[in-house]
Amino acid sequence: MLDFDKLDRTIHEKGRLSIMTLLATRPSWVFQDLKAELKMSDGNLVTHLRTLHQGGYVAVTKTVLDRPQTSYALTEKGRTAFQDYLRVLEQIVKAGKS
Amino acid sequence: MNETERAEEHLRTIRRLMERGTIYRAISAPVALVGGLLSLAACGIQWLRFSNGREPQYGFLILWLLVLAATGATNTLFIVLGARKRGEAAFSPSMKTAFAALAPALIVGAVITVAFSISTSSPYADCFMGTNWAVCYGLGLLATSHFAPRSLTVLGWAFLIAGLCAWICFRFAGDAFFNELGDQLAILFMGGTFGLFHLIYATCAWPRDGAELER
Repeated sequence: MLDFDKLDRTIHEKGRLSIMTLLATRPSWVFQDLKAELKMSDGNLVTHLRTLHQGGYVAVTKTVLDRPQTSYALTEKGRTAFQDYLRVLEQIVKAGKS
Repeated sequence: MNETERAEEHLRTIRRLMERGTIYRAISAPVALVGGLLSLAACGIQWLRFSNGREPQYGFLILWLLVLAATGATNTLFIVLGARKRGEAAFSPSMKTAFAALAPALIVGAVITVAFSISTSSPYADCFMGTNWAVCYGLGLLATSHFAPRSLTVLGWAFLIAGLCAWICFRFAGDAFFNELGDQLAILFMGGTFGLFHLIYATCAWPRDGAELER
């Protein structure tokens, strides 16, 4: 029996799921773009990104061009975890409809 | 809400975010501004040439090809600079997808342009080339609508409708009308569409407070 307990708890939180989803769409996102797209506060976004980074799901790159800029990207582990998460969600939907 | 409904809700959220994340603006607001200003400048030059009776053969075509080349070069420059700023490849997968969507309409426009410029004399050709460009450009923009922001889709419809309306009007106008007003109409049409439409689009799509993602 599939249920929500099978889902990755790190990704399953709403804010972190949104971050993982956006990171899955492009090679990398800069902090300001993520913040603008998700309409999160700096502190909230930093906390979620730190959790994902500590879980090994997100890689952080700091660059200085005109000004310091921090970019975030999914790691291989993060991409796999996100795909697994989606697979479990789909299985839950399929199981519910059968 | 049961587990299936919760899972469906999560999947809907993921889909919505992924669609937003993959939006690609094939024509950025600064490029539209440059293109609009160049178009209006081209209209001014052509109007002066026409007023002085010094309109060379293929003058309309050559002038607008120059505008296209300058705007295209500006677009490439902005894309490269933007990609460098973000530390990404200049020719991203999104850009390639946008180009693939635009290409068929632009190829049709180019072929019709060649056919018109060979077989028909000015000012007839100028008017129909202008409407052909507007229609093909509009169709090209609409072909990107499944991953483009709404403002670009609106721009596509504006070009398509303006081009088709003008084409219908020109089609039923007689030779005498074209001989009398054809040159002016071609200039006004190009200024109104490629000039004015682009300026309006640039104003509406201009990034505000860094809130818009220009890619």
